[in-house]
Amino acid sequence: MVECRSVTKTYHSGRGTLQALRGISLAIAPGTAAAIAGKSGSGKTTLLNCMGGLDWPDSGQVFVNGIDLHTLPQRGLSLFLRRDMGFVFQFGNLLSYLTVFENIAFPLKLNNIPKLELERRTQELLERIGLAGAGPALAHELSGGEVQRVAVARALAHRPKLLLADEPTASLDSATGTSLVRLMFELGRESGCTMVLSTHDSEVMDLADQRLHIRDGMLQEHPGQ
Amino acid sequence: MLKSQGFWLKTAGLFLLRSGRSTAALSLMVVSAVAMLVFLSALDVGVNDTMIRSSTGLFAGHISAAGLPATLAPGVLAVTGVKGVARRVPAAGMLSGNGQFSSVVLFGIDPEAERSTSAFWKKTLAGSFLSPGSRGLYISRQLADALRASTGSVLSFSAGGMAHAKNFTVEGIYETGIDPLDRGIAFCSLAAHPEPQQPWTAAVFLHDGVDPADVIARYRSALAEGEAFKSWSELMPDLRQLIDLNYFSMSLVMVLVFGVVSLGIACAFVIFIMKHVREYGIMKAMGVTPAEMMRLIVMEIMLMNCAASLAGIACGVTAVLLVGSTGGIDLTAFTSYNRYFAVSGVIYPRLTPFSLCSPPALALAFSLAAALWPAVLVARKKAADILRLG
Repeated sequence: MVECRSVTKTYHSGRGTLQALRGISLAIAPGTAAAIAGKSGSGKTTLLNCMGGLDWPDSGQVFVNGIDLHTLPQRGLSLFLRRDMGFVFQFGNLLSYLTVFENIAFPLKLNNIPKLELERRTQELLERIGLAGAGPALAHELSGGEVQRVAVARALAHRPKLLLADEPTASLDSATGTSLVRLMFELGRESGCTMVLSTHDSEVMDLADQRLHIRDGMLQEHPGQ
Repeated sequence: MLKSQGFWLKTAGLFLLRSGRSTAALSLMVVSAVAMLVFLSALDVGVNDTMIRSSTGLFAGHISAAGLPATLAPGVLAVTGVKGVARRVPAAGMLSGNGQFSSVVLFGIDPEAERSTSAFWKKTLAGSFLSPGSRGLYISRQLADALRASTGSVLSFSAGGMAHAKNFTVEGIYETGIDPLDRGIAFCSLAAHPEPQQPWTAAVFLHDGVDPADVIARYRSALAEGEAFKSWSELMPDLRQLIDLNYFSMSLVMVLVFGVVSLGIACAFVIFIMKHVREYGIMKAMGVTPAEMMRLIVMEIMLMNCAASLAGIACGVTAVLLVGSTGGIDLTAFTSYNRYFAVSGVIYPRLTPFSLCSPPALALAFSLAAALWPAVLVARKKAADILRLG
């Protein structure tokens, strides 16, 4: 499902050159829930961005469902993202000017899902994330945990093949974070979605089927896997 | 690709509505700029109107013709759009009194027609303007001074073709402040004129908004003397130039004013869009294409501009109507010695399609230009880079 081959990525800035990814190769099977752990600055976000087509590696290839993402033209990549990908970010996930309902329905609208089906699916997701009555609320009216649950619902609403979550629990307390990831994995597994998340939290790591460690831009299989 | 633009339009609308204070602050800039320019533009038109009204209304009319035969009745010239026609019969001669002499052109006029069309009779300094059938004389102050005459003085007029001089009593003395009208001209009623059957000159006064060229075209097609009729812009090229200059300088001021205002708007737009840059990154990660992103930003700006421009036009129109209904802007203190404002120095702003349409068009053009950079930045940058910016 997801395959990285010798992916490298270097950033140049006023502070010098930072080699974020140093020839990473990995494979994640379809339907797997994978977790990537690593210290801050180890390259987790860069790896997820490259896997999701949000950033381009300097060298190497990333295949999702057999497609080399970085050979797609910009428009083709956008259409691929809207159809087959879902993202959850660490913070600032929701579009502030849309309600909870509109946020979850946004990818469905992008994918031209008919209105009745869109409303049914969005309402069902709202119930599944325990926010059935929060549809008309705006993002600033929600707690941090609720925002992340809505982000998970939105990322999975259009039933993508791959869900990428970049430290989705970073701004949450441990218990809330763990329950969020449980919810995410539960919803993702129901639709056969492959999931990759990055985290610092060992409890969250334990929930994953496949655990990976990244250090200084290089991948290490978790010893306990 | 979505088939309907409706989704993006709705998203843009929600963005503006729910961005509350940011939208209001940005809109306020556009509203005030458009309102100010609508008013300025209407004021510019009003200044020109006043100059034309003063220059033509005092004496000359919008259309003039000389050498018309006595057989041509003034009523023939009263076609649609004509407010009134003043018939004036000139006779060049010598005016004398108190041992003084002065060469003059004595105009035989219809006092009633003059009262309903021209305004020079309002410039009476002493005595009164001529009444219908009057046997008196109406002269300028310069002439009165030269002949040491005052109201009640008897002056004698003689011309080459006259066997005897004709005596007139000075009924009124005027001063327009315009040299050609104050020097060497005297008026008497047609009934008292020594040579009433001489060729006459016509001053044709039009209703507001009537184009002199249209009336002249009708005269030329209907009258043998049609070629004699000339519009004020042909007879007063200085006024024509002044009006053109006024339009040009006001247009320049408008562009400069909006240029300065647009700098503020541009900065605000950049801040407005950059404030939400992370959200554009999120949308990009959800698969919104660069073209859709550009379309969304352009729609946001156009929607905001349309609403703000409509509000700005409403404010500008209200200001114009308010000034119009409260007696205009009296600039007499600044215009009393200016011949282009000889009749009145009161300015009434007037709205025209140009004054209503150009400010919002300028606002939209400057706003779109201002939004171009952030729109291109958001559309072209990789989602990861945008997310890092936010």
